[in-house]
Amino acid sequence: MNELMTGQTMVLYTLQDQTLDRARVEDQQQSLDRFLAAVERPAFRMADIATRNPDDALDIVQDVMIKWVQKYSDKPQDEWRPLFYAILNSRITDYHRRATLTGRLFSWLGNDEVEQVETAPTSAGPFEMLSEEITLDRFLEGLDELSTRQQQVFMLRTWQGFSVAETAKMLKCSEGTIKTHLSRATEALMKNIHQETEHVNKDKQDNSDD
Amino acid sequence: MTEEAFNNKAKDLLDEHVDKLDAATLSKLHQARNLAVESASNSASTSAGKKLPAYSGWAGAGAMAASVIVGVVYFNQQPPPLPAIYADPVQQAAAEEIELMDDLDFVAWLVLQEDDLNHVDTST
Repeated sequence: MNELMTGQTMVLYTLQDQTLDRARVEDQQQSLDRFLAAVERPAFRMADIATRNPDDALDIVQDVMIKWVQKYSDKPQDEWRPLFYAILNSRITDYHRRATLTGRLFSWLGNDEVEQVETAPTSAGPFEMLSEEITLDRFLEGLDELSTRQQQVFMLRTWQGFSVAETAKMLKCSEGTIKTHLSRATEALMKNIHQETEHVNKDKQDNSDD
Repeated sequence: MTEEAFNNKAKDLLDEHVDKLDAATLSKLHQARNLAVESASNSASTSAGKKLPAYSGWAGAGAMAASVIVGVVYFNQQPPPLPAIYADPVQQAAAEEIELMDDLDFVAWLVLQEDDLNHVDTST
């Protein structure tokens, strides 16, 4: 009789454990789904801007999602976002390295290898020249002119709001390098937008003169 | 425009760029996310499986051991020995004789043929 009761108790404990395990797995899945739903679209845009190829960008984001889930999803939730973006940017850098090897890379990536620690002085000129009216197309064209590293730094710092220290950790370089890249990226971006705006305005003027 | 205003503008524009993603891309991203979450549940069930009695593990190990034994036996197998009757030359010959006796009608026919030929030869 005692043996029968012990057996029943063990079965109950096992069932309880299984129910708790299932609930824990479902809860974890929901958390993962919520997190990935929040980061997937900015991640895709980041990869799309860096690769200029939506299909490659999708592949990269999918790889990053799977790698992140399998390797880092058991980390504390406050570490999820930096880890995800670190993998994403590592994957983007890897993409460009491969492209360099296969000779598909454009000359504008040449600036990437230069690491300058000192902060470049930022003149107030471009800010003042810039009109409040910046369209999305003009902004994206300006962003496209930047090196991959400058794009990464600009988007991580300005758009995603990561600190200098976090960005440096994600891109595996010094904080000084991040500051330099950000300063130069911002300046170059504004110049590009300004030039583009002037070019468009000149075209408009020419057309109205005709 | 100040640097801060520019940064805010840049942030707004990038957010706007995200909002403009087309339905096909959103659908593909959704699929990619599901795939990733599924891979998490698979690895979770694998790790949960470690708590279960290692029955499946033993079964797999047993199956592998059995296949190894079968393989070793199969490849190391010597050609089957001949039946004892063929091992001794004498017995082998005896066996041939027995076979010949089995075909006794044919032997008898041969003898008769030889006899007939002899008859013809002597008569001529």
